[in-house]
Amino acid sequence: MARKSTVLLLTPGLLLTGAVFLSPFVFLGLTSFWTQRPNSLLIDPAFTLVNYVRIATDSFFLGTLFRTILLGIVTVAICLLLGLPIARWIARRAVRTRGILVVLMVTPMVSGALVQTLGLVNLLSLLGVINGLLKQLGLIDWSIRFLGNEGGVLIGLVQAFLPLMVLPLITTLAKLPEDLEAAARSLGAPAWRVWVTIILPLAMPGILAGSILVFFASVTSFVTPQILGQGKVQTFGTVMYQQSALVNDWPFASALAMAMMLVLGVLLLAVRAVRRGLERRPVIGSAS
Amino acid sequence: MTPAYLSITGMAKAYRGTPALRLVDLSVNEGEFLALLGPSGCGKSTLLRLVAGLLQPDAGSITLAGQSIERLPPHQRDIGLVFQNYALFPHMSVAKNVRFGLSMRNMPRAEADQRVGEALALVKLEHLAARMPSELSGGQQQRVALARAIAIRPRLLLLDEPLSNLDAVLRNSVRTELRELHARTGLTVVMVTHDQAEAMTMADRIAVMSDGLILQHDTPQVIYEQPASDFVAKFVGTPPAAMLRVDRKHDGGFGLGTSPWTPSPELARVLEPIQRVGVALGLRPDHLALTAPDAPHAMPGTIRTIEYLGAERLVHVEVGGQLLVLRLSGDAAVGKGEVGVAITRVPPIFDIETGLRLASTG
Ligand SMILES: Nc1ncnc2c1ncn2[C@@H]1O[C@H](COP(=O)(O)OP(=O)(O)OP(=O)(O)O)[C@@H](O)[C@H]1O
Ligand SMILES: [Mg+2]
Repeated sequence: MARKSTVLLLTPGLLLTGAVFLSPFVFLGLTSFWTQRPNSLLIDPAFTLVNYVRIATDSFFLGTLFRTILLGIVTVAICLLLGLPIARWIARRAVRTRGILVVLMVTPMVSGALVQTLGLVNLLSLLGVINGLLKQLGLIDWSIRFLGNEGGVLIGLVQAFLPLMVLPLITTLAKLPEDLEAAARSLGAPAWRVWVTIILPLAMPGILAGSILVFFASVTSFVTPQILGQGKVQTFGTVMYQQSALVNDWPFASALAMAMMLVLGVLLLAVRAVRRGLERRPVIGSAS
Repeated sequence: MTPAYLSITGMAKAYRGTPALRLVDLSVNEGEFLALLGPSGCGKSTLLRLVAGLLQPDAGSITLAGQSIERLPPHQRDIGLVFQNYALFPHMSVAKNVRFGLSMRNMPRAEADQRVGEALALVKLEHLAARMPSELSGGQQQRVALARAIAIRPRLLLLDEPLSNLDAVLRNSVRTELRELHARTGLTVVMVTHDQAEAMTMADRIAVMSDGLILQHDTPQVIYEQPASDFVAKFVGTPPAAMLRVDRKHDGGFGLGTSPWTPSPELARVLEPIQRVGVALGLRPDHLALTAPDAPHAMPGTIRTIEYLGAERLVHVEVGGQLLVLRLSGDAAVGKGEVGVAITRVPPIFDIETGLRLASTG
């Protein structure tokens, strides 16, 4: 009885949610199997796989997919390298200090990708702050080209998404019992072995969560590669934008989006399998 | 005199300007069981961490087995440390935890296996080798931590309140086990505790700490019978010593509060040469006996409460505004009301102002 009435009560909400969130998604999926009529704004709603065949066979799109994923992986790697020491440092502060640091870290994220990216352009452009500084210091004679290449995009991605790595890491590391590192040190572990044997294994849940967040944010990002890549670095985000807004081939852009989601979905399943494997060992959080 | 096995000199440490250790000198002989005894926050853990190398001292030096170690990083000191909260590695089995220090020393597998087995046998936990720490009781975790520290055959074993997280029954048995373990391994042990009974029953010598200083460093017996200061007297013993103020009158006599008092000749001989306005007697039950209120040399008092402990009773008597505790056998008859309290042995005597013990008596 109670169940039934609950469902009834929820029905309007569920319908609304479905309409607002699910319908664009379904429409996207449908569109990806249609085609754009040449030189027309009209769409031919006949089921076809032609868009997917094109993605799977055109080396430009395959290359873009590959580059996007590679950029994502490298972004994750750099965010991990930077994020682990940062998170460990923050996790060891007093609770109050930790809160302030987290707020400071999240604030730029909330301000949106565009503001941050434009700020980076100011820093990194040929006549930007960093080149100016290096010249003042006499370290370089000619400006270094940071923008318009993968390196510039990478800097932007790391800058934008580092907090997504650091936050889950802080959560995981702050939960660890005190003195584990001290115990390892006193038992004869030099600093690097403390990292390998204690910190990294215990931080694994945070590492997984942070890596997924950063990877997804990175491969689906548009503003950062668009602005910092200056049209010279193509990623899935920029190509989708071109296909939809510039070429006006919505069905193909939809297929690109679906392909991306497929890749991410497979990846998520893989990570879940890994996590299941980890959970088979007793979990850290439930200890003591 | 040969230098001590572990010798700490001029050790000082402050946390952001707040001193935790003021100036500590301490020496421990090889094979000795030393208890670092003091109230919470007096700097015991700080001292232990300095010895282990987990903290850097502001001043002072440490030598261990003739080697200066204060510049060695912790992983090169060969010092076993058992933490107050055990700090077992939650992602490793009991055996892996115990093996950790051996792995860090790149010990061959067979030898390490044997050492892990020995260490676990020493704490009677062989049957739990495959368990994870989260599957152990507090007492078992404590013993794993102990086995882990012992497995590396440390030059020194440091224990930070090893019994404080155990229930009373377990605490008693682990106390005995720790003593036995010490006897069997011959390890030099420094154990931190804030429980004076633990220190008295387990240690060869005790260092009593307060507020970042070591007040007295001696055998349990000397600490009990000749406490260096009123703090030590009040901190050690069950029940602790009560301080009774005795004033010197202008006419050369003695007074308890406002009323005059004639101490026994034995006690007067000790009190007589002391040229101070006031001193404090550190009185334990073993210094006192109940008498009639008008007996010679007795201090007049009023019985306040009687604690029944089975074989004996503790009688709390108010004398000169101070509560003194006397011990009576369980069957001796006693009521409430006015009594006399006699001092049967010369107690330790302390300066009222400095708290330091005056006479070499007690
Ligand atoms: N990391 C720290 N930062 C600042 N102050 C500290 C720190 N660790 C300890 N202290 C302070 O130093 C003093 C001594 O601390 P310590 O931990 O050595 O005391 P303890 O004798 O071990 O006490 P307990 O019996 O409660 O464990 C205390 O006043 C404590 O507040
Ligand atoms: Mg402590």
